[in-house]
Amino acid sequence: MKNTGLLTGGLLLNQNLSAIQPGADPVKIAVVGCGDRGTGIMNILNGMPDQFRITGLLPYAMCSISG
Amino acid sequence: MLDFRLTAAQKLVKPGSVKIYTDYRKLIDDKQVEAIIVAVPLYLHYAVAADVIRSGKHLYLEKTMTYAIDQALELVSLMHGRSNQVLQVGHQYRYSPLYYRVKEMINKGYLGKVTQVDCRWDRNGNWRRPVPDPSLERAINWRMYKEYSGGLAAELLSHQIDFINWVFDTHPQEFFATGGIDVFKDGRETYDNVQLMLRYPDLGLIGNFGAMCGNAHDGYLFKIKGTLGTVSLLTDQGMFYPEKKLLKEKGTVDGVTGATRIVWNKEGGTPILPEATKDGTWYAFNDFYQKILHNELPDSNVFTGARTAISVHLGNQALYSKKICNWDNSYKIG
Repeated sequence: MKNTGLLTGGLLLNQNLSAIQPGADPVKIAVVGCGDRGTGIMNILNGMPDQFRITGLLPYAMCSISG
Repeated sequence: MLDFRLTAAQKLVKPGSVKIYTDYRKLIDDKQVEAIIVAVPLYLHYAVAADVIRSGKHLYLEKTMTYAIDQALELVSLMHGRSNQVLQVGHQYRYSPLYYRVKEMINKGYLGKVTQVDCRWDRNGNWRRPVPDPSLERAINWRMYKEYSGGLAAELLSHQIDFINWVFDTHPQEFFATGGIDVFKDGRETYDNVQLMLRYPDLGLIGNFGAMCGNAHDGYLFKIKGTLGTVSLLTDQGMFYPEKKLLKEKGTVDGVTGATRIVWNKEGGTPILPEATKDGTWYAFNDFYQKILHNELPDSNVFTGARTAISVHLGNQALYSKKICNWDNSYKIG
């Protein structure tokens, strides 16, 4: 039993971290890069409306950044 | 400009709800934006990340943290004195309940002395993206070119390298590697068949990190082997395989798994968690939010990100120079 508690610690810790603070606003977040990874991230963020609100996008453009 | 990328991204947000930028500096200057996610090709990480850091905004920087060693050290330097600013690097295993539990198991000694790690990230395909116009080849398939990418090691194996660094609070000292363009001789520069052998002499540990584009049988494989047992991981589920001598001590095995009733598969393994975990990115962003809220240092931060980035770069140096490389203890990471 002692070790059972230890080994569920990872799950419990992460569940605690997921608790939303009362009154906390979503973080206004912008995504730089809209390739496979960027759009995958946007999909995840869309499922976390209490934590994040996407307010800006920069599609990947090599020429705009390389300078 | 890759307009089709913008079109795809715009489908993921409500019309009119976001500003679209063509210059990242203007996005950074937008006072409404509180945090920025950087998911650009690897060679651009440093330039964008450095400007975000200087702006004072929170930053989620995709892995691998930087393209080059000096850039990793420079980001560490730039973050000095910025304790109110969160920089999280996208090594998401540090947030997965499964990988967190495996770290606990190893740190508690349940695997005994760990001496070998076997990792693979294989596919049977060219790892290319479709190119609508030949002029966009390098912009879209940047992973194929050394000028932009660290290849399979940076894009895939860095996750597993980072996990080992995290579990043992260490980094490799010696880097051996081999590889080549062995399957897809299509003009690419980064190898499609790589094997990195990393040595952690203080731990008596060898890490084998391999990836290829010519066989998908193993796909993703991550095995951590100790004197008392083996952990075998996928990204979202894992099994524990005790060594025979551990099976003789039933109570110990019960403790390791934590299950009320041990269920063994045909190969003599038992699940580490009862259910598969979510996509690791979800856990990582959940923690990013909490760290912003509470102004805390993320588990995957600029220091750990630098350690892993340097590990990847030294692995790639060994790979492409065909020489043994060593960690330089003068690296100032903090």
